[in-house]
Amino acid sequence: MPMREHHPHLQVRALSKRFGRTPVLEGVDLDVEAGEIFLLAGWNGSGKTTLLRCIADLTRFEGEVLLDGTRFGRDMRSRKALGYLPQVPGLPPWATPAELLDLFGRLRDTSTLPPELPERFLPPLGEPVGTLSGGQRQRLAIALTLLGSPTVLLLDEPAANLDEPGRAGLARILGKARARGAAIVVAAPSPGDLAGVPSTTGHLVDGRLRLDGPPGAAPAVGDATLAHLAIREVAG
Amino acid sequence: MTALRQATALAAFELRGVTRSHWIAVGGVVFAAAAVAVAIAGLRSFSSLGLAGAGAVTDGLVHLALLLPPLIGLLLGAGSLARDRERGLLAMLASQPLSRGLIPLAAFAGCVLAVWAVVAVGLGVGLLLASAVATAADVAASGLVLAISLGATAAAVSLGVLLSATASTHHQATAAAAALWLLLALGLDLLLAGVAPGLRLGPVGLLAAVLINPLEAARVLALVALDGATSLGPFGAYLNATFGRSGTVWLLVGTLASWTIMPLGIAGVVTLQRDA
Repeated sequence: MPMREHHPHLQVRALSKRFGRTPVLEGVDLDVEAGEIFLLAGWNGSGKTTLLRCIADLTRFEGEVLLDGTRFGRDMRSRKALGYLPQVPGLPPWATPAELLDLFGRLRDTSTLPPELPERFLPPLGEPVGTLSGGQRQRLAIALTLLGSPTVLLLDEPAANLDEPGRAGLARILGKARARGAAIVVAAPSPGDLAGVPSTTGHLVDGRLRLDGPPGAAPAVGDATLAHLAIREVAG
Repeated sequence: MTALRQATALAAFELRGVTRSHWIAVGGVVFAAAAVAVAIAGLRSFSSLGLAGAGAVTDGLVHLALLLPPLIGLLLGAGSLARDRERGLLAMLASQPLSRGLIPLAAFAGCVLAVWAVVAVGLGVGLLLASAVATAADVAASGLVLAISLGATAAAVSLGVLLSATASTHHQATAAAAALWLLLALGLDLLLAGVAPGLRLGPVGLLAAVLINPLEAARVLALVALDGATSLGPFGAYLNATFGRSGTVWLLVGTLASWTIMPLGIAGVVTLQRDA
């Protein structure tokens, strides 16, 4: 009996992107298995956000992105599988978290909150976004990204603006999403910024992805204590 | 069905956003106040001449309804997608399981419903004042004014959404919308008045000038529908002779519909092609 060919849940093949004549990404290859967290590190301007936007098919690029071996794009199957958190999720200031959860829930055809969310993670549901702090808005944006239990999570600096409990909550979320088999790519300027455990790390340098790059090529590692906290949270 | 549910949810969200902005409230109050002023002025001028009916009121309201609501519609439409793109919300929406072409459609629906409410309230107040002296014909004319204004407003919102889909920033889209309104409401008329005699455009040229301007098409439609184009002089006679009254009405209704559907379709294509 022939063996079924194994495909990583998310595959990026020879992805290149230019802004005008300036190359930003050159021949990026990346495999992320189901249940794997990939930390995409790199200096400011190294192309982390652009790579996530390319994978999410929000901008044109050369190369291909595959989901379980078939093209990952704008079709409904791909979009249902995708959870994308932009670097600046500018939620409208007049809307309340309840209204945004309702809207995105309707778009994803779900009426239940993401099961990964820890208790008290969400901000007050009836307050307009304009009155929330940056960290509260980020928590809300993370919750919106998780609606419908997507199996590919592209999170652009998810720990931005989060306080320590927020980062611990994010670590729990990443752990639970990994446990249910999601392939997760987290972009962060430094590994220490991630309140989660990257099982694989890559650094974007000069438009190329270096897996487990040498420390000298990587941005400075941030708060080690926080990283350890995250490891404990996910391991637990 | 899923697409319809998604479009409805997005449009309702957009409508909620528009109605919560001070913008639409200010526009609504200004339009209602202007409609009342036009209605009172029209009633006084009629009664001073010893005439019956509300014809002067509806005539005045036609011009008002084809100036202010289209401006509000253009500006609202122009602010929709461009602002969402700047905020990053468009990227979040574009990553959802929905056709990206639905996003401008929903923005259009939300904005147009909000401006239609402004038009209905503003004109309603004006026409209510006129109803004291209105005849049955005036009531029918009022209904026509309202319908034509809603059509012109829909075309304006659609053009605004197209500007929003193509502009780099919402400031750019808003500036372009204001400039477009000036061009459509005044500029093309002034240009035509200046060059038409010298160019000897003739009725076909004038008709082309009407068809390329949705606000002019709405104005001519109102005149044809209300008085059979007699106030349009030789051009009205040409329209009646060439298309007949109902043919002219359908031509102009089709023009307004095209000015609503085409920009929205192009906005959909641009949104599909462009980075979110």
